[in-house]
Amino acid sequence: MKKRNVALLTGAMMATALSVGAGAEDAGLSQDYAGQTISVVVCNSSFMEEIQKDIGEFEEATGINVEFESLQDAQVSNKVAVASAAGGKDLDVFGYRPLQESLLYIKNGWLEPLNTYFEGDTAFDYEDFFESAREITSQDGTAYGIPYLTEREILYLNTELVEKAGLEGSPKTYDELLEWCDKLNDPDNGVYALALRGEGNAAVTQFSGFLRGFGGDFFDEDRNATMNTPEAIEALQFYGKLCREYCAPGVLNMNWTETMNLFTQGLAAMRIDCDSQYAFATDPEASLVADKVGYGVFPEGPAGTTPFNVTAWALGIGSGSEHKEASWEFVKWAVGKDQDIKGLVAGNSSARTSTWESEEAKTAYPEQLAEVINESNPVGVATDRPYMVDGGEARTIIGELITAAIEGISDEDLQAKADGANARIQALLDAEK
Amino acid sequence: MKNKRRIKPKKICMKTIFWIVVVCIMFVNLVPLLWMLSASFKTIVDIMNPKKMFVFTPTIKNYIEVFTKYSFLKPIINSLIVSTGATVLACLFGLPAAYAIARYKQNKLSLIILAVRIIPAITFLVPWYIIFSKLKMTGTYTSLIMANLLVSLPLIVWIVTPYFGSIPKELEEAAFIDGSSVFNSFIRIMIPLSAPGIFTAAILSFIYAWNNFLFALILSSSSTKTLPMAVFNFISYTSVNWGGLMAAAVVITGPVIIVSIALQKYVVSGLTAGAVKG
Repeated sequence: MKKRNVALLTGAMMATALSVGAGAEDAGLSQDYAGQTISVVVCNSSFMEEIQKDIGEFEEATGINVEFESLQDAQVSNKVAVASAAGGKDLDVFGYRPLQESLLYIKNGWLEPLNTYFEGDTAFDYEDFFESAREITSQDGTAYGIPYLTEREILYLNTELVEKAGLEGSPKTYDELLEWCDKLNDPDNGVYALALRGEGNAAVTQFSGFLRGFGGDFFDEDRNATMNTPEAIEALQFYGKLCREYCAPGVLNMNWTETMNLFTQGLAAMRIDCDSQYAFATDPEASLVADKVGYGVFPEGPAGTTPFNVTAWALGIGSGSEHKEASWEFVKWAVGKDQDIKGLVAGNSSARTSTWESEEAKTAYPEQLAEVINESNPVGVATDRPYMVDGGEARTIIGELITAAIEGISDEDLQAKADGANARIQALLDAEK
Repeated sequence: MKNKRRIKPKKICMKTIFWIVVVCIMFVNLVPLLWMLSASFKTIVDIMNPKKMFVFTPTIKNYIEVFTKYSFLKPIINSLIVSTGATVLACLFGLPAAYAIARYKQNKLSLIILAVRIIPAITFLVPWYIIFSKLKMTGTYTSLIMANLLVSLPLIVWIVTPYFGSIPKELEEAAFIDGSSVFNSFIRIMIPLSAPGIFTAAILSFIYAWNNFLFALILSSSSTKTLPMAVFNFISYTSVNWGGLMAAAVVITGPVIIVSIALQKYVVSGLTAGAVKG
């Protein structure tokens, strides 16, 4: 079908309009914007690799030229910030991290409201996206972005080491987690029980699961910072103990790549991090334990099971764009149902319910992981970092607390530090009111 | 005789220390490069495995990927165009400027040029972006080359000015008496005599433009993307292709190392001469 379309396109322009119409109709794509060029800036990921592979199909079906640029996460933010601050004329579609950029981008008016574009479009089916994902990309009922990558905090297990230690399943509570850690820790042989982010700033997201598990949070509903409450101190000390006693040396410098490498080299029996990275652990070219990976739901704390379940990336249209309709055609195609399933098969954790229920999902994802994801979805917390305009700064402050906790300071000293940190976070929150 | 014997152990001692220092410096500088080179021939799983530090089955898969999956050829060409363009233009404008500053003692002007270099480059980016955006020039080679000139031009001017200053005026005066114009004496006397300095400045300017990331990030488009940006394609949100990254790093570093070694003679004499006479 598509090949026929290519032939016709190159053959005669008039005839193609009719025949492509048939092919494009299935996806609901329009030829009305043929000839326009849009620029797309996104973050490198398996999802976007699929998009890049198939972009020719979109260009054929719509006649729109796409200038596609895929960068690293922080670079996308920089580029979007500079281009948007200058009016955003050259920026049509871009990826952004709702948890740390939504509020700022919306406040600055950089994102185009999308409701009018998708309303009544049954093929696109906006309601199909997870409710939490829709919420975090909207403000006061207006949608500003379409979510495409979600992730949850889960437990990775090295099944071989777990069996060797005579254990089964996965630790269900924090107490069990400590027990497992004691049994699995084998520093004499260079094998550690746990791989956990210990680099302060990076650790904030993984720490959030424990913070909520002890009944704490970054700040409460009335935007009062709560990083110095007894719950927060308990969570900090617990996280610090896990890193200090059961993680490999050098934990203070570890981000997700380092903990992933320890796990894939078989040097860590358990690892707590995002499920979105699973493909790396199960890739025989990248992992020595590719066929020994087990998964578990994030353990339950005194206040419940509280892993994060977040929308890491969404696509938005720049409010300064001169090709908004053509841009929407692209977004509609890129996060449409068909392309979304392709992304999932390539390893992307989708934000669409229908994708997770599809036949492809059953075979593409490791069965146990799919179960863990389904179990984590309903209990998950929609944020994994302080959700505020100046979240980056707040994250740095909390990171310093985590570092102090890992270094192992007394409760009193930590409390004093936390009081100071809390006041600084409060000042940031107050400034945003 | 006795004296000589007393000096000898001292000399040996000094030489040993000298070589120990040399080896230490070489070690510190070369190990990352060698690690990069060996990692580029390994699979990801081997790179992370300390047991396979030295003994491993080499693979050229990473290099194949660099040029097929990540299509590195285009960024290489882009980088060459931008770096060469910026360096050539900087020489074209910078050498006459340096000559004027040296001959007519325009020290205030040279200070202004230096000030441009002192201000962090990021300060210029937003204005640059707005101007280029208004001119519909974002994503073009021209915008990238012009942005890089901001750094290259002061570099050339400041390295070459002391060179021109150190060449005796009498040489030029002799040429004037023989009927040469100022322009002619500049081309035929000043430039050839300052070649080492010019080479040094040009290489430094080339390396700077070659490695520049910030300007390219903001001003390039997908078709004019330069190498330092292309490298980041190997780092994705959920995985890092270490092998590909290292192969790409080798591809990027290679040309600069070759150019630097080929012109090393000039660079070294250029740097020391500049330091002593300037």
